[in-house]
Amino acid sequence: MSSKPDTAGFSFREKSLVVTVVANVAVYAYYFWRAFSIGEDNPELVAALFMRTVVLLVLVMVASHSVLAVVHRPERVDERDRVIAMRGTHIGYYVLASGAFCALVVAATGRTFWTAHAILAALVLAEIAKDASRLVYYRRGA
Amino acid sequence: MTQQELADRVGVTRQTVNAIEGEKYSPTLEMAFEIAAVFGVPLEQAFSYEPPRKRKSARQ
Repeated sequence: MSSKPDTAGFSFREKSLVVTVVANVAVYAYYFWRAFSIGEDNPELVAALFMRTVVLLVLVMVASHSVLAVVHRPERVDERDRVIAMRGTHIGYYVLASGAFCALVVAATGRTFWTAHAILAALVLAEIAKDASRLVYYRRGA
Repeated sequence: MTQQELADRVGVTRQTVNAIEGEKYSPTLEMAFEIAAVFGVPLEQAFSYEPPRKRKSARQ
């Protein structure tokens, strides 16, 4: 075969993962910062902020992936992609399970605001861990 | 044969062929047979296996 190993070029899927991780980190960092500033005394404001955050995240993902799909043709999914996705999900599961345990501890305090945010943080961190680990597997080998 | 040509014939991405070549991914037996079939050679001629312990000592 005539090509040399890739060391720098990112595939569509790797770029998509980078965009997803960056978007999740940025959007949810903003959400948690704003939500904790508002505090538990204004649940309506926090609920509205959450809705805005979800819409913002969807818009960012659609826009960024549309641009990505134009500049970089998406590739087919093969067995390596499925193996990497499975390993990423495996790592994400451990993060989610740890987060769920932390959320149970928070729930024991009886404070709904903090319990809900502990659950949300667990979900977000698990998603970030899943995508970030997939990116590492793509770059370093699965 | 380019990586892209081999990838198209086996039905995987070029990145996967690249990862196999760079020893970053071990293909399934099914894909290994397909790659060997593309080159028209037996499996043991297209691939070789080194136990992890040997690989580690070879690197040291």
